[in-house]
Amino acid sequence: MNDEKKKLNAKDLIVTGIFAVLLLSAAMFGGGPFATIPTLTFYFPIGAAVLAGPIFMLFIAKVPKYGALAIVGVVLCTLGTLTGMHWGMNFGFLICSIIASIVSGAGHFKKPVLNLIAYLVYCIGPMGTYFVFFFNRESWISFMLKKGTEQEYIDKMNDVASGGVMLIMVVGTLVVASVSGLLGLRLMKKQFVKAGIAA
Amino acid sequence: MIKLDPRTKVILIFLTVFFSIFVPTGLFTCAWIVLVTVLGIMLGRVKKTIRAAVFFAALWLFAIFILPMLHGTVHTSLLVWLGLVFKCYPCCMLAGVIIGTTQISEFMAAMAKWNVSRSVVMPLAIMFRYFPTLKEDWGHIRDAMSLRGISLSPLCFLKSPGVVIDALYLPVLVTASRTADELAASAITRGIENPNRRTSRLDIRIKCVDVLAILIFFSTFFAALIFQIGG
Amino acid sequence: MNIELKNVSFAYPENEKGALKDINLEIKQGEFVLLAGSSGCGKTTITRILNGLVPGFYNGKPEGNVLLDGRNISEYKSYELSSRMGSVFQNPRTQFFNVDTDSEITFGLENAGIKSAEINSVLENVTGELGLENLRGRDIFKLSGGEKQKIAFASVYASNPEVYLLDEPSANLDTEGIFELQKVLRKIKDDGKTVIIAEHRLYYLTEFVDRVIYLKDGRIDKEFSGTEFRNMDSRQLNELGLRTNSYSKGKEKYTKEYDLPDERGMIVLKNMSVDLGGKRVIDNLNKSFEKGKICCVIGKNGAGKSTLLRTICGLVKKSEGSVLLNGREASLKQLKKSTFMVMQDVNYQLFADSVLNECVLGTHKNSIDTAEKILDEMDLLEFKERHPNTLSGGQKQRIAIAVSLMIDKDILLFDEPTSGLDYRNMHKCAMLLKKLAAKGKTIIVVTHDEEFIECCQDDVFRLGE
Repeated sequence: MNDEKKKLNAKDLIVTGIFAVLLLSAAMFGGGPFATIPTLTFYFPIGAAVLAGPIFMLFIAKVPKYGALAIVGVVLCTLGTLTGMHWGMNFGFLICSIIASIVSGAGHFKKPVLNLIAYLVYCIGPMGTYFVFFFNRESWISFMLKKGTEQEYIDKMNDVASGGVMLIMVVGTLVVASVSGLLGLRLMKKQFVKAGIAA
Repeated sequence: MIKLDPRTKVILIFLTVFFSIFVPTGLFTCAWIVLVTVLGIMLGRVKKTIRAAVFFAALWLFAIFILPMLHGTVHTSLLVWLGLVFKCYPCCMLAGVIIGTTQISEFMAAMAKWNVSRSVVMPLAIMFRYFPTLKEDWGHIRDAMSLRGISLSPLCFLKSPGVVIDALYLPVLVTASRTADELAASAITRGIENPNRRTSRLDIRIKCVDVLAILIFFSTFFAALIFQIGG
Repeated sequence: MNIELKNVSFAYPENEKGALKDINLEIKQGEFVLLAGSSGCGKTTITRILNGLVPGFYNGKPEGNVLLDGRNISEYKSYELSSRMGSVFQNPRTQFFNVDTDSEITFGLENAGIKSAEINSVLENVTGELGLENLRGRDIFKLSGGEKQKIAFASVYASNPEVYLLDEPSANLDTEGIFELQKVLRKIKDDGKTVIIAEHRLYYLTEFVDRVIYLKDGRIDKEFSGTEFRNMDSRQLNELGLRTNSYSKGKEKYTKEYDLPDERGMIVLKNMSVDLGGKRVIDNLNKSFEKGKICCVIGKNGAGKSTLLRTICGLVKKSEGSVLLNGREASLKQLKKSTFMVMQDVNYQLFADSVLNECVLGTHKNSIDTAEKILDEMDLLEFKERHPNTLSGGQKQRIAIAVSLMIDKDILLFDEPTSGLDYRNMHKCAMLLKKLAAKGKTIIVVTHDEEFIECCQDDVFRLGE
C-alpha cells in the first residue's frame, strides 16, 4: 500500500487543523511563562518543547502522509503571521515542519527513532526568532544604548546574547524535546493504540 | 468608520512584517504604531487600540529614560526583552486590530478569491473554530482531574508523574480525536469535498479605501527604508 | 427519492458493534421512518450507509446493493450525495464548522459554489421558514444545545435535500430543545421530505412516524406501522428495549426549596448564591440533600444546574450563604474530599490504560480485590483488561461510578447520566443509583429525562424559575 503518497482528504485536513491547535497550545502553555519573563526569554523554545511530544506522535500516527506535517508548518506560519508573531519563529516553524515531515516519511511514518528525530527538528522551529536576534542584535536594541562608551557598547552586545546562552537554548531544547518525544512514543504504545484513537 | 477587504488587511500585515525585518527599531517604529492606531480607530476598534498605543508609549518612554539608569543583569535582560517586544509590537498590535474586526467567513471567502489552496484554508478555518472548543474541553478536564484529587502542581506531579501525565494527555487527545471525526463527518455530508470553487454569501471587493490604506502603509515603509539607507 | 437496500451487510473492521446483516428495506419519498433498537444494533450504520460515510469515511466493505432512484449509491461522489441527503448528528458541539450562525447555515451552499446573491436569498428564506430570526448573526459557541441543533438543521435545510438522515439528534438536548426540534421536524414532514431517524428517545416522534424498523443485532427483527406504534403501551415498548412513545411530565411532586432546610441533611445549602464571571447564576438557594436518597434536579437551560453540582463538588466557590456538610460549614477542600461527580461526558474522566487500572489508580496497591468486587457489581468484570475508551457510553459511565466507590465518596453527583442511553441502559443506571442510595450514599442527579425520573425519584427539585 502506498498510503503515504495519497493526497490529503477532507478528514486529514480537519485532523491537521485540530492538531495544529493542540501543538500550538502546548507550545504556548509550556513556553508562555518563559517568553514573558525578561531573564528567561531565550529559553522559550525549551518550554515550548516540553508538552507537545505525545501530541506530535499521535498526529503522525493519525495522518501518516507526506505533507501533513508540512501543512502544520504552513498553517502555523500563516497563523503566526496573522497574529503578529515574529517572522523568525513563523518561518522556523515552516522550515522545520517540512524537514520533520521528510525525516518521518523516510521511515514511512512508522519508525519510532525517525519520528523522534522529526520531533527534535520540529522543536527547533521556535528558535528562529532568537537566531535572528543573535545575528541582528544591533538593529534591535541599539536605539536603547546611545549613551556610554564604545567599549561598553560592545560589551553589552556580547552580554545580551552570548554564545553560551544560545548553546544552552539549543542543547536544552534538544534534551527536553527528546524526553517529551520519548514520552510520546511510550504513551502511543501504552495508551493511544489501545484506546483506538491512533488511526 | 471604514471597512477594509480582508485581502487588504493581509497585505498590511505583510508590509508590517517586512517593516520589522528591514527597518531597525527606532523612531519609525513609533510612526508605524501611530499608523496602526489610526487604522484601528477608523475600523471602529477604538478603546482597545488606544489602550495598546498607550502601553507602547509607556514601554518606549521607559526604554528611553529609565532603562539607561539601570545596571547589571537587570539591565541586560530588560534590554533583550524590550528588544523583542519592540520588534513584535507593530505586528501584534495590527494583528489585534485585524482579528478584532474580521469575521472568519469573510476571511475564508477572501482567501478563496486569492485561490489559496484548500489544504491550507481548511485547517486554518478549523483552527479558529477549534480554539474555543479546546478551551471548553480544558475546563472540563481540569474539573475531572480535580475530582480525582489530581492537580497540575509540581508537588502532585512529583508524587505520581505517571498519573498526572495520563490524566492530562488522554482526555485531551481522546476528545480531540472524536471532535475531529465528528466534525469531518458533518463537513463531508455537507459537501466540503466538492471540487467547485467555493463561494461566499459576503460580497468582497477591493475599494478606494483599500488602495489608500495600502499606499499610506507602503510609502511609510518606503520612507523608512530610504531614511535608513541614507542615514 | 426512492431508497432501496438489498441484502446489505456491513461490519466495522475494529468493532464488533453496529454491524449489519442482510438488510432489505425500501423507503419511498415522503416517508417518515424510525430506526429503533438498543445501542449497537446497527441503526446508526444504516444512516451512515445512506449518507455515504460508510464506506467513504468509516473503513470496511459493505456488501449488497444500495439504490437511490435505481442508481447504485457507489456511483455518487460524497458531494453529490450531500445535496440530496441531509445529515444531522447527535453532538451539537461538534457539527458546526463556522463560528457564526449565518455562515454555518450557508456552509453547504458555499461548498457547492452557489452565487452570492442566491445564497443570501436562501438564507432569508430558511430563517423565515424555520423561525430563526433571533438566531441570526450569533456566536454559535454562546448558543444552547437546542439552538445549535436548530442551526445544524437549518444548514442542511438550506441545501434543500430530498432525504433527511438523523442520528440521535435529541441525545444531548433538554426537554425544551426537544420540542424545538419537533417543530422543525413537523415542518420538514409537511414539506413532503423523507425522514430516516435513528433514535432512542421516541416520544417526540410519535405523531410523525409512518413506519418503525426495529433492529436487533444488525438484522431487521420487526416492523410496525405508525398506527401500531402509536397504540403500543410502555410495557410492550420496554420489553423490546425501547423507550416510551408518549411524553409524561412526571407527577407534579416537585419539592419547592425549603424556607428552613433540614439541617440534618448530608448536604445543606443555606441562602446560597453563586456568581460566575460577575453574573449571579444561583440566587439565595435553600435546600437539603438527604442521606440514602436520590434527588433529581431539573430546570431550564441556564438555570444553574451544572453550577449547583460544581459548587457541591467544591469546584466553584459560593459567593454568599453557606454549604453545610454533616451539619458543619464545609471548605472547598472538604467538599472535594467527600464528593464525586460523574460528568455528562465521561470521556473527560477516564484516563487509565485499562478498566482495572482506572479503578486502582491513586489507591493502595492491595486494592485489586476490592476493585474486582466493585467491577463485578457494575457488570464490568469481563472488561477489566479493556481500554476504557473502547467501551460503550453506558459502560464508561459505570466505570466512573466504580471509581467513585473505590475512593469511597459519600456524595455522588450525576450530570445528565442518561443522555444518549437506550432503555435498558437507562433502566440499569436507575437501578444502580437506587442500590447506591440504599447503601447510604447521597445522590444528586441533574437530568431532564422524564422516564428516568419516573424510575428512581425520591425527590424532584426544580431549580430557578
